[in-house]
Amino acid sequence: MTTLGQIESVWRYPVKSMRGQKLAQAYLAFSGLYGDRVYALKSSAAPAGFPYHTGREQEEMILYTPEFTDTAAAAEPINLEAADGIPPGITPLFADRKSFAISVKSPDGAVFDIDDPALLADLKQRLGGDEAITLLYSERAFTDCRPISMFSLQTVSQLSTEIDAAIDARQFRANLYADFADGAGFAENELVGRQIRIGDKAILAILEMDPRCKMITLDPDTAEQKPKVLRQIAEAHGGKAGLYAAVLVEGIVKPGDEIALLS
Amino acid sequence: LSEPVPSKPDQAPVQVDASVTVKRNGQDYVFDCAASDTLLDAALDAGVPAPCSCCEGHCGTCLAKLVEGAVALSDDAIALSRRDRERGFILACQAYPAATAIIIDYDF
Repeated sequence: MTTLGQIESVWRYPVKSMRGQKLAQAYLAFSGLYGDRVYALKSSAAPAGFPYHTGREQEEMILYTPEFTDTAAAAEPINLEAADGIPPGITPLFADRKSFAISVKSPDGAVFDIDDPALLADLKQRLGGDEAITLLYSERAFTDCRPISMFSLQTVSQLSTEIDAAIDARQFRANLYADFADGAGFAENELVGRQIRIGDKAILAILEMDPRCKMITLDPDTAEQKPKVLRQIAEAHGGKAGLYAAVLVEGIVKPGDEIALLS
Repeated sequence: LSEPVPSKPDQAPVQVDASVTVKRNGQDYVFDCAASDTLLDAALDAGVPAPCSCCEGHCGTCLAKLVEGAVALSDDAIALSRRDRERGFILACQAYPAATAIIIDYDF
């Protein structure tokens, strides 16, 4: 078994396209990272195949900051310890929706409950237009394509060198940021089709590289676009950067956890 | 120079053959674009290093500033936000010429 590196940070995004949370630890579930993108906004103007209202259509969405009201309840499944105690590990229960209650701070500092119509009104007032924006909830993470996303610090560094400009790793909105021992950017592309274990238990299948879009051009602190990074990924890396993964064995992960190559 | 006029879907601008200038990495590239072609397709056909990825209006890689002229944007330009349109940006992969002389800039 080969050690590839370690987890540098763990993130979740309680509301799709809104600001992320850096976590001390998180539970990787089959349906995605626990509490990740449990809410999303739906737009009547969006195509049927991608019905969401995101930072692509309203950049300042990424400046809204969601926080779980009960951080302990939203941290991990409710019976995790007991379920883990039964070999080989029983799939634990998710909390109910009340445990995933969220408050959202707007760019102006106003705070709304996630299901308060005033939140959508605030967004709409900034957006303009006639489209209807509605709130969606699901235990299954509203990710774009696959349950888990991973990005390496080495790829952030290489891209920054390639475009001769600073890049904030948060632009890539990954769940897991990895610090690979290899040291080379995009080296993780070789993991596609392989399985890795993170920490003591979680096992992931690396499915494919992540096709990137405008979202990664948005400055996490200003929502202004910095398009060079997306152009560089298109022209030098086939439009893809970072990895999509599926969870094969659920488990807790945290910064500093070893990433081991299983097969 | 004429005022840049990004088109809106409800205005249904008339598509016309155009001479297009692309500003990219400090260079100007000039080529012809037929009324039925997107600016991106015409640029790539002319060997212009125009950035693109999905070519379907979803990813936003071909975002460019419309400096002169006018374009007709398809309804599939979904990576173009309301803010982008107000700031005079277009997606080259979903933009058809609607003026005989067009200048777009990737070096903004």
